[in-house]
Amino acid sequence: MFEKFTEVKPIESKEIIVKRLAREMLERFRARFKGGEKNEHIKESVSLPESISTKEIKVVAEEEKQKIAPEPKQPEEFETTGLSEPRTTEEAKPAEKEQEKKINKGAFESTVTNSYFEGWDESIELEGNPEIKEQIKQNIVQAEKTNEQTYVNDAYDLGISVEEFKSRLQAKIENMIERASFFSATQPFVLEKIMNVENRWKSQFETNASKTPLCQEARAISEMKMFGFNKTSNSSMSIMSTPTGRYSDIEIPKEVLENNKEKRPIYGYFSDEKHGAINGDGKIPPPTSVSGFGAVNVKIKKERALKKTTITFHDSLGQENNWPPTPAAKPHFTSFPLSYSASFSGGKIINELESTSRMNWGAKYTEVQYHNNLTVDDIESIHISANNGLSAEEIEEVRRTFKMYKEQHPESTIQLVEF
Amino acid sequence: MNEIYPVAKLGYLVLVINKDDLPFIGKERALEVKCIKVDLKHKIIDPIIELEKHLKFNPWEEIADEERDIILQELGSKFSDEEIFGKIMEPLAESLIKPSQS
Repeated sequence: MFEKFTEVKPIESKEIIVKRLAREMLERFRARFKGGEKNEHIKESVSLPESISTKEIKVVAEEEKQKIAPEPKQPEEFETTGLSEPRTTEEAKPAEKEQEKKINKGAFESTVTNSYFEGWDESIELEGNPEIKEQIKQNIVQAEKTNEQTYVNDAYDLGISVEEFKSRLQAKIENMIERASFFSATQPFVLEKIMNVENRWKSQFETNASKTPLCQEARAISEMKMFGFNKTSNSSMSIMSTPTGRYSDIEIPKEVLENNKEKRPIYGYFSDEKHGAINGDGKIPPPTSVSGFGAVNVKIKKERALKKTTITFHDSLGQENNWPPTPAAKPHFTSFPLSYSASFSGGKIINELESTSRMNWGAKYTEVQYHNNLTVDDIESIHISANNGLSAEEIEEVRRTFKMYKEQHPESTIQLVEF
Repeated sequence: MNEIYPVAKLGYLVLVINKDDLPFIGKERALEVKCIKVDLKHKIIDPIIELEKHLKFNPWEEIADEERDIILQELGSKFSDEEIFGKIMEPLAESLIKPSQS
């Protein structure tokens, strides 16, 4: 072997280094657990050969990771679909822009948002923590401001005004949600616990002891940002207000993690396909893109979901402020992410968005956040199929779970749908 | 020391990470921590994905220290070296988090 790992430059070397590291991890693992038995005499892992530096590997691995999975673009870095340089509305349609200025936008960034918030306080019923509606309102206002340039660019691509673009996008997403059903992707044995033991879904805040290593700070902060959940009066909890902008620098009060655990949001998805299909094809098979989280598609009663649900058209992880969750009963266009790539920009979104089961806007799946508990009473039907990745054994397990529940609750209207 | 580390369980499902990424869980760079879901019952290893995605979608439970070796033993007995190498070690090695400079 003659590779020199002190000079890590060519791409080939990165691959070799990753393979070398993986092989060493395997050797270390096998040294301890040969053939499924623990080798007690080996207390600690074997040391790395001198020829390889973990630090170098990490740097290389990071470079590789950036190549493979680039960070989502900020709105300011938006790419246009055109072949020419990015254009501005000033260059394009000065008359229209002038006309837009004359439109009374009210207190908000656009007339669409102004209309959206009319009657917000009175007419929108959303169960959850007391702060949820106010937090969502703030997030919408902030997100629209932050993403304004994206909307401007998309509108220009279509040759329409920004107001018109927002109006069309709003109408589109309202229509999509209206046709959608709400689901939870659930594991068979989790369903058993839900239906025959706990009577409701639980989050990891309830199932984990509050100690390392499964710290919950990240999720707690995310839910505080999205919903004001367990919001503390301590202003230092605001990530933006810390000197470095890092939340590892702040001490999260214990009560933020401990309080109201049973009320933490439960995560699911929405789809307009009757069995809860959600993938590039809009049908099952192939399995849904959420089947890794659970291949049993539990459909939630829509009338109940609309009272306790917020939605995003993407996984909200890391996108809490950019494209925030808004109520399913009254979704706002800021919940739709426009920052993925040029191929998913303006015109394509407006013209080709049709279905929430066929993901064609850059996200892998939609997301639903159920508030104020998700219980067995909320279930409309349970959809299972081998085509969604369930084994025959798991299908049988779901049948047993359902049968047991029905025996104990003969009045229940929950349906088991095998497809 | 880079080695696989079972971090959470859900029935017969286990999430494994690279032990070197452990300090990042729950912290500012938690979103960068990747994991691999292993179905010990059906002998299925899923593709690598952000740990936080799994943690938010299901009620995962922490794995106690005394359970960790048992899980690793089971993993070692149910999967071949090729599977462990190609589906666990290599993806985890590729996605190591670069330590912060500051």
